[in-house]
Parts: sequence; structure tokens; C-alpha cells
Amino acid sequence: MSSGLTLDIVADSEWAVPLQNLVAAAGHDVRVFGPDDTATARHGELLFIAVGPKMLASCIDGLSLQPKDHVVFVAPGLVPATGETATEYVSRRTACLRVGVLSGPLRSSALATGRMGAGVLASEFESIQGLGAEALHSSQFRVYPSSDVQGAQLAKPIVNALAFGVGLVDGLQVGETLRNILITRGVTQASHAAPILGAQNTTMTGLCGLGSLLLALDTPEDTHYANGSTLGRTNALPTERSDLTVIRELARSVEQILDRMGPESTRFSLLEQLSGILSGETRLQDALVELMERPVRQE
Amino acid sequence: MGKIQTRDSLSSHTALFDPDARSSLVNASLERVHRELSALPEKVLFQQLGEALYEERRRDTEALPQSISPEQLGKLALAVHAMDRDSALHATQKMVMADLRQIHNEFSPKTYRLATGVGPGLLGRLLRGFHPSRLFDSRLVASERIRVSGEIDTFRALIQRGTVILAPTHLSNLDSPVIGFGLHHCGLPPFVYGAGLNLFTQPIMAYFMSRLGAYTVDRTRHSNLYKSALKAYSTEALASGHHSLFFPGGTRSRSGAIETRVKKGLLGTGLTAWQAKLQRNDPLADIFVVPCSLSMSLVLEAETLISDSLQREGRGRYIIIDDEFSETRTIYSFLKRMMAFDDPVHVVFGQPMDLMGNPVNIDGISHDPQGRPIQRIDYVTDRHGNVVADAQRDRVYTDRLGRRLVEAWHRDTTALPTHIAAFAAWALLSVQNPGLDAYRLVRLEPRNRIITRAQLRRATERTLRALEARAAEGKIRLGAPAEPDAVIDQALKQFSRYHSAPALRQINDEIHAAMELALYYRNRIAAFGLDERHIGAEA
Repeated sequence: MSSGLTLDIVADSEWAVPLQNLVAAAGHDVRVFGPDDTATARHGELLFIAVGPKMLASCIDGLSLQPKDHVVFVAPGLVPATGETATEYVSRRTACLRVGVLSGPLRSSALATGRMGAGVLASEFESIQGLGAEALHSSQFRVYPSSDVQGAQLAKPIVNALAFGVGLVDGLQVGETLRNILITRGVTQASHAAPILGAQNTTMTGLCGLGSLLLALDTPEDTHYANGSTLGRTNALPTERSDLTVIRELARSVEQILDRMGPESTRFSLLEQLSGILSGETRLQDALVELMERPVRQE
Repeated sequence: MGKIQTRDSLSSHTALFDPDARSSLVNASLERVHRELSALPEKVLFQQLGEALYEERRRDTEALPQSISPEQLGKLALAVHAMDRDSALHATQKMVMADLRQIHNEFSPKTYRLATGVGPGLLGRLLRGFHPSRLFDSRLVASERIRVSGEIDTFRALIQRGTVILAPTHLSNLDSPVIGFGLHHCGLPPFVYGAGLNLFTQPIMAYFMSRLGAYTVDRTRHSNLYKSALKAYSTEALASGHHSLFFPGGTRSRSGAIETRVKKGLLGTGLTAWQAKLQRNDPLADIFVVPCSLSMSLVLEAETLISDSLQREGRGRYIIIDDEFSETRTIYSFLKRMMAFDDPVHVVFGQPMDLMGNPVNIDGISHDPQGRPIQRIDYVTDRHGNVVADAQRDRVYTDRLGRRLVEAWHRDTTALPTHIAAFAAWALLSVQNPGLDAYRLVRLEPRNRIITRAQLRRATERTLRALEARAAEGKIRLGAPAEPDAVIDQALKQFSRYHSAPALRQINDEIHAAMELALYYRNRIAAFGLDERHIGAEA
């Protein structure tokens, strides 16, 4: 069955199948291209780009996006070299304006097996929200439109850092109280930080923030949670090279978020401490003491 | 690509000189509003009519100018409850027609030729009468006093390729005539522009403004019906080839700072007009936007504007009708003193853009951030090349255009000695009085508003060096001597020209600051990331 929408996907191995499933469930045909096929990729009425942060910049450059294009990025991270969001990079490098982001508690492995899910489709353009919803909305997947493009993108590294932090606390086995404080205060501080980051605070307390965090904590194989847990349990970073790479990338993106906040970064004390731990500059125990003993004030 | 015409041949390159285009403007605007109102749900239509009638009644009680007579208003108010949709549409049409008649003014080519022909020379002779040393100076006052620079050739080329929206910063009510002289000086045609109703209260000003392209904007009117009439007029003016000047900041900068936000109402009419032109296959469909930065050493209304900016309650008045500009004598006095001094007003025409904020080159081609040509029509068409109306999409485009304008205004601002010296003095006093915000600093006792000339020299030096670094990065233009003493001397001379209490004045070796004015002139360069603590810090 085809609704007449011409959809194209440029995706890596993680996202190609899940996205294909989603648009098929919504009744559309789709053409899929790999991240290395950008020169031949077609842009259709709506183009989904679902590649990891490392490939993001080269993929965008290779696609040579134009004013006519309508683009939705799926769960993009920050461009590693610059700390830009995908949409910021597009804006700086191309004349394509009609862009959006699919974000929220998206687990590619679950969506690939036909599990039900939901996501936020954020775009300044209602036409992109509408096209995205038409392309994805089905009995398997619910789309929530939003205008908070920045929030939908910046929530991801924040959530990853908080998942790492909760993993730490679990690994330390210091009890449920501290765990729940970390989750609650983490989301609260993220919502306070949102306006400073040009985002909406409700994005952090909604599907993109809290929703994604809860999903990460309920998924034992979540890399960031697992890495935090290892560090908490052993007081040593994971030895696997791939895990160390993930930690380094997370450390960089957290630092980039804090840089965006400038002097206001002190308002996100949890992220500051996690940044120190991730970069190896702060010892775990020192970070906990610092967080607990910082002056009492209304936050 | 067509050959660009020579400098003098562009002055009539506007629909202002086309009697047919002028005469059809009001009716075309009326038709546009009618189409919009006809598409409204009945409830919203009646809401808009009721809102407009309420505003008329309020204006009646406040003795403000009205669109319709009190008798007509009374009849309409009584009849509105029994109206059907057609009657309501008819009633709104009548009110909109009255609004459009007030908005529209008849451009007069004769008056334009008079103003641009003998006007500058006449003013020059008058002013030379006050300055015997310049009696035989043959240069025109406008070209001496208004220094125009920037993308003039591209601007001139685009005038021939489509319709241009000129989008300046707004400091003073003198901006429009200054820009008018600037345009004429470059051989460019006159632009239509919206001028506040209050500016039409002086008969001489009203006579010239109404005949030189100004249309009347009553900023005390807020009804949706009036706004629709105004937007429709602007849209039709652009769609019929009238180059238009908007002040996207909406009103004069109260604080003296460069505008950081724009009002999108009139700016957004560019996209509507462009799409209308595309739909009717107008060969000159394109509409371009030229940012314009104005930098002046002194601003006539500075005292009133900064005072208004500092009013905490109500955060100031949007419309000021009793400022320095309300006195003809004051304007004349200001102009006379300004003209007598050798510091020009800087008018910079910036990088032209399309309506989405992309840069446009001299051939009228839009480019992406990497300089590659793009098809801008694709922003508003579907896959089959049909223009598709989408008001929400256009609001996002206009938002982006507004951000690009703000960037251009900053980039093209010229830092002048009055700004630099005021910034340095404010930084010194700010550091000397730690913990005081601007509201408290302006209330400093006179004895605490004093710095030494040596302190000011050092702080000015630091300000200059910081500005030079930014100028080298293309973030601002520097219009001041390299030596701090020369900057201070020029600033002190300028400040002594007009304001009753100069922003800075020297008594022996001391510099005395009038804090509100110092803040006003300092604010012009406050958005460039200058480190005030460093600049004001004395070892």
C-alpha cells in the first residue's frame, strides 16, 4: 500500500530496518540509502537522516541539501568536532531550512522487532511536523509534534549523562534514595537549563528528557548506564576500547552542553560533576561530596 | 544578465512614478483585505468587527482621530447585533476603506524633484549663512554630512531586478530624511515608508512627507482590522513595484542599543507580495532586502529616549509624541549644530538578502552559506513548481530574515568617538561603583560621576584596542581616530554641540558624566562583547 508520499531514508545499520518498519506500518513505500550513498541518495518529499554523530557532518555535506528539501533527523547527537546540533550544522552549511528532528524514547532494537513506541517530531515548521506524522504515525508508533527543535536534540546528551550517573549510583550500591534523587534532580535541573540552551523546559520533563531517561534505565544494555555502573562498581573505567570511546564522546558532548550554558552552567551542578567524572578530572567520591555539601539554596 | 544602468538613471525606477500603480493601490489593498476577511469563520469576523468598533468608540472618548464619524459609529454599533455575515463584511469593508484612505498619501513627482533638486542646495546656503567660512563651499550639505557606504552597486543592481525592502536600524525621527538623502545621493529612487501619524502634525513636515512617499501609520491603533489594512497596503505596494522602507525594530531604539529583535508584521508582507508576484508570473517578481545601519555621533531625541528606556514602570512608551522632535525649532537647532561640525552620519547599506535571509549577489542570485547558488523559489513551491501559501512557514522564514538583519546591523554599525568615550567612561564608573546596576548608576550623586582625563584616556585606549580586534574580524566598523586623546577630544566636542547637559564634559582635568546620556551613547557598542570590567579597571 502506498499513500503517495515519496520517502527516502539515509541510515546506518542501526536505524535502517527500524525506520523502514515504521514507515511501512504507516503505509508508505520507502527508498533506503546508506551513509556512504549520499551522492546517489534521493531526497523525496521527506528525507529521514539517521546516522551516528561521527557520520552526521559528512552525511549532511554529502547530501548537498537544497531549499526544496524536507528533512527529519532521527535521534541525532551533536556534531563531535563543533558541538553543533544537526539542525545548527545544516543551517550553517546549507540553504535547507525545512528540517525537523525525531527524538524521545527511541530504541532502535525494539522498533526493529515491531514493538510499539512513540516519539517527538520537533520542527519550527508545521508542514514538517505534519509530513513526519503522516510518514510515521501508525498503530505501532505515535508521533507527538513539537516546535522545540533545540530541546529535542540537546536532551539526548543530557539524558545519556544522567543515565551514566544513575549507573554510577547503582554500581556504588548506595541505595534507592540517592538514585531517585539523582533522577528527579537531574530532570529538574535539565528543565531549568533548557531556556538557557534555547530549549523549552517541558521538553526535558517530557518524552525527550524524562521519557528517554526512564527507557535507558529500564534497558540493561544501555551503554551509558552500563559504563556508569561499571565505574561505580569497580572504581575503574571499562577496559573495552569501544566503551572507552563512548565515554570520551559522552564527556565531550557534556562539555559542549556546559559550554553552551556559559556562566549559567553552575545551575546544572549535576551535569558539571558528571562532566568532571567522565573526563577523569574529578574523583567519584569527591563529586558526591561536592554535590551533597554545596550550599543550600532554592534551586 | 542585464546591463546595470548608470548612476543617475535609477531615480525614477519605482512604481511611485507610475500614476496607474499609485491609483490602484488603495483598491488593491481593499480587495486583499476583503479576500482575507471573507475567508474568516463568521465568529472571528464578528470579533474583528466588534474589536474595531470598540476601538473607534475608545478613540471617540479620548478625542483621537477616527476612521469613521461618530454618527456612523453610533449607527454601526446599534446595527451590529442584527447583522448577517454579508452585512458584517460590508461594514468591515467600509471601515477598512476609511483606514486605507488615511494610510495612503499621494506621491508628488514635482515635490520630489523640488526636494531632491533645490532642497539640499537651499539647506546648504541657509547653513552657510550661519558659517561665513563656508560661504563659498560648493559641496552639498547632504553629501558632506551623510557618508554612504557598503553594497551600493549591488543595491543599485537589485533595484532594476525587482523590488527592494530597505531595513534600517532606527535611532531618530531624522532617520527617514537621512536615508532619503542617502538614497538620492546614490542615484537610487525614492522609497515608500510608514511614518507615524504624530509626525504629520507639523504642517511643513506633513506637506513634504505625504508627497515624498510616506504613508501614514497610526501606532495608537491596535485592532486586527487596522493591522490587516496596513499589511495589505504594504503588500500591495511591494507587489506593484514600490520599493519600501521598513524599520523592522518597530520604533526608535529607546536605549541607544542596536536592535536585537524585529517586528515581523510589515517585514512579513515581503513574502506575501513575492508569492503574489510569482503567481501572476511577474517578470520582476523578486523582492530583495537590504539591511541598513545608521550611526550618528549625536541623536536629537537621546535624552527622552533613554529616560523612557529607564522607566521601570510600564517599560516605557511605545509611541512618544512629546519628544525633542515635536518642536520644529529644536529640530532646526539640532540640524544647524550637526551640520556645523565635521562628523558625518554613517549610512551603511549591507549585504542584500532574499526574504529568507540568504545572501544575494549583484545578479540577484541567492547563495547558500558556502557561496553556492540556490533556487530560492523552491522555498515556496511544491514539487510541481506551484506556489503554495503557508502562513506558518512564512512566519518562520521571516523570523530567520529578522535574525539575519540583526546580525547585519551589528556588523555594519560604525563605532564613533561619542560611543567609545561614553563606553569607556561608563566602564570606569561602573567598576568604581561595584554592585550598582544601570538603574542605580544613573542616579549617582554628581560628585561620584567624575573621572580624571587620564583615567578616561586609558579606558578609551582599552576600548579602542578591543574594538579594533572586533573590526578586524568584521564584527563592527570603526569610525574613530586610533589615538585615545583624539577620540576623547572629538567626543567632548560633539557632546557639547547639542545636549543641555553633555554626556561627558571636561572641567580642568576632570571629566564629568551625565549618566543617562552616557549610558545611551555607551549602549550603541555594548553588544559587542567588550569586557567592561577590564576596560574600567584601574591598576
